[in-house]
Amino acid sequence: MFSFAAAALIGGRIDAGWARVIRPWTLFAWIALTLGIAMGSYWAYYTLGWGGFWFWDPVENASLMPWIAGTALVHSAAVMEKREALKVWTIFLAILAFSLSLLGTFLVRSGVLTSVHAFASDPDRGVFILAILVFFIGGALALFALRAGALPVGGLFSPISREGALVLNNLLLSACCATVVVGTLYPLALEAITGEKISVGAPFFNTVLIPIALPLALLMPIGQMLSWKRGDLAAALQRLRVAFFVGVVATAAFGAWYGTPFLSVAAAGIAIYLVVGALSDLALRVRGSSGRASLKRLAGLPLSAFGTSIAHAGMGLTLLGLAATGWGVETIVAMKPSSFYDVGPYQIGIESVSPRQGPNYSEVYAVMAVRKDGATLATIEPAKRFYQARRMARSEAGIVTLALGQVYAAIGESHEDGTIDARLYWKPLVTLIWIGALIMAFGGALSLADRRLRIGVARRAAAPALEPAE
Amino acid sequence: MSVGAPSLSLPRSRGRGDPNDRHLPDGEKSPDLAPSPVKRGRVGVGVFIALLLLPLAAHAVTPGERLADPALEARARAITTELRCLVCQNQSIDDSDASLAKDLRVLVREKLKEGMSDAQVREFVHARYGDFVLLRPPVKPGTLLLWAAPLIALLAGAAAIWMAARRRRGVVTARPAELTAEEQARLEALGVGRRSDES
Repeated sequence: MFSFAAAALIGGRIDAGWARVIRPWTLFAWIALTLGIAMGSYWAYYTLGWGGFWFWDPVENASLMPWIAGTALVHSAAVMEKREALKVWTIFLAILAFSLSLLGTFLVRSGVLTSVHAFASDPDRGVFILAILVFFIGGALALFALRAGALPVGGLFSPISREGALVLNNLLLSACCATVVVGTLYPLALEAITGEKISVGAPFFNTVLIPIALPLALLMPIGQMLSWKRGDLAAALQRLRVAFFVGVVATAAFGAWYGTPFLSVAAAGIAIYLVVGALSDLALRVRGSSGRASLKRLAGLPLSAFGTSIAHAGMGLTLLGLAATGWGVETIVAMKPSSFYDVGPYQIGIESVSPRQGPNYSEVYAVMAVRKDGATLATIEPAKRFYQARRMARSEAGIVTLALGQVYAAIGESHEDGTIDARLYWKPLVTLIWIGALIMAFGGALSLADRRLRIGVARRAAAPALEPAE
Repeated sequence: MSVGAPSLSLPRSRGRGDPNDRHLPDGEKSPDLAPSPVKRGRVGVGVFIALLLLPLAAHAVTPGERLADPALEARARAITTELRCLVCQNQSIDDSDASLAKDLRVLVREKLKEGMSDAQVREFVHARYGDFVLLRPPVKPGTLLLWAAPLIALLAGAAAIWMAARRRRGVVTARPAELTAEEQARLEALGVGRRSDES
């Protein structure tokens, strides 16, 4: 990606063809990063002992920065490919996304910051990475500054258009990205300059990013509905009426069922609207006079159209999962054997506590029954392990997925009176966070598999069938 | 326990033995409490694995610490999730089971029981441990730029877009240069053909 951008800057030739060539690479990198972040956060979730999956830790932020830039890039490259617009910006994003991944590598591996994930860090390696960083980013930006002015002006479009919407998408995503970058580096900079030590943690990021991210989610389906070059906002909103309606009904339902927190209710409503809105774009495209005609249209749609809708719907599901964390239930209790404790809609009780020897650890594990209305639905085995070699204790959570949510249990100290400290959670819809990410990646993969991006296939395909109206 | 300026951000004191002793059984003190740069050479795979496992043993709030009054307990949780554990790598005191974190959790709850307001408790902890303990940085001259960053980014972006749009309007809308015969031939060889603007 980066080298393509540099080559384009050096060669001075930058057009839709370039965008088409870079698109698979961008998409591939984006898919890999999406899956990587999802896996990382699930790892944190099941190992942390209390089900935290994102703490706005600098290392987490280091992975998020290039993801946001990459997301913006996937969108602006689409504009460039279709409409030859946003050239300079796309090039800049390509440089930015690569630079941010380098920056992330530097932050994570150099040990300049304090993180729960700070391992394999080494100051010497840091200096080396910093040198690479300065070389590539500095070189690319210098090249960009020299050549950007020489890039041809691309296609024109009115503010209300698909391009306009994607510009807005890029503006909001860039603002998010800048915020994450500033928030991550600010403590380092402040300490270097004034010696003051501050912490920029989860409360800061949540406070400043949610007001940008939610409007972005609201705009996503509208952007999908606008046509290229010159769009009709009223018509786009009209086409989204089903999504709006379902979203409002969902918000009311969530509000009635859970009540608070308000943010969760609002975000969940927006998430539902996002899913329905993304899918209604597909539905409207294939709506024909008869079922057969619809099917025919469905088959004729380019895979990238499915990709967009599915990736957006995946984002909606992730958002719903995130919103639902506000409705989680936590019970921290010294559990007595054979009595049951309420955790959300379920009751959890200990059946037995016993020691066990593993290959390189010894553990105390509890067998817990998860019940609802007297019927046992599952048994889970949270454990407290002790690794002899490293003299290290860790908690192994007991997790069971029930209706998209998860019951999550971790045990702590056992007491002499036979009770055992336990943290029991009911996390409704929590699996959607990762299912949504998987679906996003799947959407990306569909786009990647689009016929026009497959080398060689296009030659064999009949020319007229190549790009159905989009 | 007084913590002046925790030496957390010295690069050499990190990447090995967390000063936090929670993983050792009682009576065992971490030999790495004050890690010396000299030993860096032989910290290898073992430390990597050790650090991999470091943050994982968090049990944080134990039943014994909890306040009987659910409303007060909820307020305590809201406060402790926004306070940084000063001896951990990067955790809130709510998530950590380092002994300092536990002490602070108990302290917050005591102050709440004494009738302090949330803001008073936060200020109390802030006064003792400084800005570093607050995961939500205070708004003050040094952090204005931080808090304003999202707004500045949005406005700067909007301004850039506006300027680009204005410049574009000024440019004569020249059609992109026609493809040369050679380029057209290459396109056709790729099977792309001429693209229409119909969309």
